[in-house]
Amino acid sequence: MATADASPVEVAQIAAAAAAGVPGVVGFHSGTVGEIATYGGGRRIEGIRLRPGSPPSIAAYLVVAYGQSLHDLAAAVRQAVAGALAEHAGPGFALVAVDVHIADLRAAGTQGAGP
Amino acid sequence: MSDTEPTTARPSAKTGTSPATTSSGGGSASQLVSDRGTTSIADGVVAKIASLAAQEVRGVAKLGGAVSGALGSVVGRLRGSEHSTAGVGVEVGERQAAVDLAMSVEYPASIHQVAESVRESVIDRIESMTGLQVVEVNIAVTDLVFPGQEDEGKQDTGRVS
Repeated sequence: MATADASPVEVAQIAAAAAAGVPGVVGFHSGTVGEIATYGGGRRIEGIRLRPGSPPSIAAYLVVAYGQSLHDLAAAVRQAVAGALAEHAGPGFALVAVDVHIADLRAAGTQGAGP
Repeated sequence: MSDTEPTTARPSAKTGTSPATTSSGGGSASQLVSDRGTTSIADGVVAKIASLAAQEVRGVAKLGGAVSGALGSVVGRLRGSEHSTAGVGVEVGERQAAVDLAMSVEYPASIHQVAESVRESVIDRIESMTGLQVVEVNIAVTDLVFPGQEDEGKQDTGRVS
């Protein structure tokens, strides 16, 4: 309770870094016109949206690799993001809910521009 | 909704194609709710899985009919997408999915064997990746591709790169 919660953009950055570290996550999806993002401090974190509340929730829109179970992948992302936020984002995020949206898919071995 | 007649029943609940509209409802395979948040899978993802799974099968020349193939490749190039879902239609319900595929087959492969393999591959991939039960895969073979014919097609689409 002593430390303050991180700002929305900091929270989004922590979440994005944690999600990106999960094998099978190849990117973030910011919607058809780039509307899914968190802004703050002159930065823009794509594919992450925060919903304040108690407990707060966070939505991650992911581009994933072809092949594995998407529910297993979503569970791994949820665990990684919730763990990282509980550790780094302040006491308000100890019980954060993580909504995982599998927004797009990319075949293995293809890289480059987003959807 | 009863699942007892998988061969005739199409999925009843049609979800939207955009990620934003798939966020309602719960307790399903494509929409898994836990106490720590929900999981949703966009319809376009299911379509891409079907497209990639079909292309894994030997004997499949390409997906899409003649018109949708040409249009799809132009649209795909304009949008910069890696692979279009031309020739693939999906209907995704709460627990089930139905797939319609249009494809061309390489001569002289057995069309029925290729179609059966495509059906198996699509069902296997969608069920293992999304948990959705695939109730039907309807396959339309729209063309037969002869050896050497593929190059012509590539030259045609090459004009609009």
